[in-house]
Amino acid sequence: MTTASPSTPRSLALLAAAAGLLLTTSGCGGSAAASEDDTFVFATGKDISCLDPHVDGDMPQASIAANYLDSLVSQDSEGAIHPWLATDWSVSDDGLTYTFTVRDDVWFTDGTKLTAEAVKANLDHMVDPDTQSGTAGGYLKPYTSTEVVDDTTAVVTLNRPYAAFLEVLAQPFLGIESPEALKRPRAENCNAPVGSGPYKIVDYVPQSKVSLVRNEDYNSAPPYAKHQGPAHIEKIEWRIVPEDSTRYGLLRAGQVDALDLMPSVHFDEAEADPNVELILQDRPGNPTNLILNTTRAPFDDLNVRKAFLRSAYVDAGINSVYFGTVTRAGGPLSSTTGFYSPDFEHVYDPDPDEAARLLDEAGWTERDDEGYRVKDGKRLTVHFPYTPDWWPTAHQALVTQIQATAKKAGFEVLIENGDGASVSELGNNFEYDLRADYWNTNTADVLRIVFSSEYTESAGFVPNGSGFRNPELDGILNDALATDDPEVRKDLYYQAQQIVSDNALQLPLYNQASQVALRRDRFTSLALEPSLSLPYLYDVTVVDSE
Amino acid sequence: MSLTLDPTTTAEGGTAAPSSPVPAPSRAGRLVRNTPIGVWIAAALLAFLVLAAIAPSVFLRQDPFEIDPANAFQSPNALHLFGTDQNGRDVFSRVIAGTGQSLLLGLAATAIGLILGGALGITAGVSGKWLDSAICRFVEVLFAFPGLLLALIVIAVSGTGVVTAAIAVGVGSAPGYARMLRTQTLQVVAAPYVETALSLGRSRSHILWHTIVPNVGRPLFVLVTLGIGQAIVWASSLSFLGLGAQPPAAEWGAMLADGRNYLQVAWWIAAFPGIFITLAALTTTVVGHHLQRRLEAEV
Repeated sequence: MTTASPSTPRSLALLAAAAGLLLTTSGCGGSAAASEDDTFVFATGKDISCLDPHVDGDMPQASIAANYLDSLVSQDSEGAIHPWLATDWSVSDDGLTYTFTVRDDVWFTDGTKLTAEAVKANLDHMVDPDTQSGTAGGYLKPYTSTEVVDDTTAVVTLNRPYAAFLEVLAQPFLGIESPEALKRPRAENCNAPVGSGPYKIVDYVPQSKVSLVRNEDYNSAPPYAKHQGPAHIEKIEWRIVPEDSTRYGLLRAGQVDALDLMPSVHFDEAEADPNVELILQDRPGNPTNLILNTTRAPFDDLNVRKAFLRSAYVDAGINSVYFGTVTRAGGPLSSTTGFYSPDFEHVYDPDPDEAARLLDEAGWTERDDEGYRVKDGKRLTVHFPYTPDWWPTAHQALVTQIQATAKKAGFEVLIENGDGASVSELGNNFEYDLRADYWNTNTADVLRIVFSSEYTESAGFVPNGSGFRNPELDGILNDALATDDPEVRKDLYYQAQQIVSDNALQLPLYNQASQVALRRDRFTSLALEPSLSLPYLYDVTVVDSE
Repeated sequence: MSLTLDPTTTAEGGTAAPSSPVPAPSRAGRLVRNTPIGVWIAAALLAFLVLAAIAPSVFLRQDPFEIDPANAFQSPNALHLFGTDQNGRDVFSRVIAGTGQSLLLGLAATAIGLILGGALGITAGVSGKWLDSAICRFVEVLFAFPGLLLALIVIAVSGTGVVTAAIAVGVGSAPGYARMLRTQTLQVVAAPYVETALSLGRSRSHILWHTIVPNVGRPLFVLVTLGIGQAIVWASSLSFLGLGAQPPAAEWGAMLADGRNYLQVAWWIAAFPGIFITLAALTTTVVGHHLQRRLEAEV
């Protein structure tokens, strides 16, 4: 009479399915065979929203862009600017006009020739609101227009002096794409952008992989490259493998030749492995942090912000889950950024007594039966929307530890896991109290991007997640762009760091770092390009098998 | 400690059988002899899980949420039976603390599935051809989606969290219950006692509530035990995907997800929650099946 009830095999199948989740979510599915000599397989740890780095502007986009786009200018590891697609440039005395001369012998891989028109098309594309360019467009806020004088001369006009202009132009985020390709709809260009770089994109399977092949006509390598002409390796397979242990497992098994976001937990093992080379470099910019939304309660109160920073034990987490593979950051700038001052590293070292005092002063004097602070019958709750897929495993553990230590001070931190789209939307509307952030850039001007009132509006992304608006800080940061005098700039950037620190806008965690692992038994000469320390595959060569 | 406790309980249960001196087998004696040893083990383990769910403090020796970064990644030892996780939390305490939530999720989801499925199934069973086939087609449409996918759709619409996870799993399992209960209702409706009630002049609603529903409901107990196991696995799957319980909740699926990237260096972080998910699903299924067979034998 109960013929329709579930049978044992079905229940067992469900169990097997649950166990199978362990395997299926790891996104494997590559060929079992080791990669060929003519293909370099790179496993990246974070999904790519759009291959065109002008759109949005997250690190994975710049990573792949560094391998298929050239930039107007290049930067060396000392920070000096050198020619690239632009052979020459001059700046007007007032700092508002840049005249670029571009090369006459470079073609994009769709056959379009590089001209001054391409410079205009690219800069216009980055600032176009429809592009939704958070990073490149954000950097170009001082941009007014480009005038094409002749085929090789472009005159760029800015609305204010911008001392960091050439630095940001050297970043792959502002790479130069084919103007013909840019005319296509955004979605189309996202899937198949066209550049003049050493490789060209031939296929893209979202959330899975990007296939690139060598640009056989390549003749525009930057000064930091070790050779000229076409790249050494014929094909690149750029695989998206967000699962940390899977990505590392693929490298160990020889199914991928290199990876980024090297998982901290496997560092020791990788260092001991003679077949693996670790390529490590701290990046300049604004360190990995939790930014505090000052536009709404409870973090609209400076004392509550200070109390939160005082409640968080970060060092212990960096030692336990990162195993010391990242360097602790304390102030608003990463330690490798120009004009960085170490004076702000220990301003908010953990201090439970001070946190308690600050919260008392702010009126959060009572505690409820779960130990959380209460004011006017309201619990001290901090909403923290979070997308685990965007962060290394260790980061997920670190925020859990911060949640636990903040609880002791009386904060209820609600980590609300969500998919990228919904978390981004909350971020764009300031509907959060904490946001996990970082901003990689090669200039101290990052302070203006992350903390000035100019960047509290959304352009696909709100760079200033604190919503902090302070005319004094805005003025200092703009003054710092109007002078070339390093002493004056140093002084101004010191004042800016002071204001940011005084206002307790971020809980800095650790310096962003490029952590790349390479199978050195198969390939060699994987370098990091200097502007953002991104993996640069142009010079990679096969190791001779003896 | 807790696991070794169970075989002894089983042994005691086993010795209880010969000690009953009555020559004509008593009901209890029959129960013991007709019950395979595997079912006893499952029942004992299930009793342990239920106890851990109702009174976790019996087993808890450490705070499941207390972090201790200096002692992260400790392998199982005397102080930490199941080792410690990446935040230095005691895995044993977290697994025990998670039992209540996992079982409750399983129960709540099954209840929701039964209510939804029951409403559909019984209505279809007692209604005329037109409504019956309308409901059947609707349930068939739902069947086109695997249960877990149906649950994911509910999550996508209503957001993450424990409550939505329970509703999602409930909705996901509802089509199965609807089909079972419709068949059941059809059989009851055709039974002679319904005909008798009709000929006695009882009203339709009286017959529905006093004759049909109780008779349909009787085998529900079995369905529930079978369904809970499935619901626990599904709910854990949702938490594994980050859609159910939120950090720092001690929920088995979430713990499994936490531990998966440490499998090579600290297998215990993922293994023990995984074992408990398996145990919960297996024990409820084994016990449920046994009850089902007994019920069939009695009928």
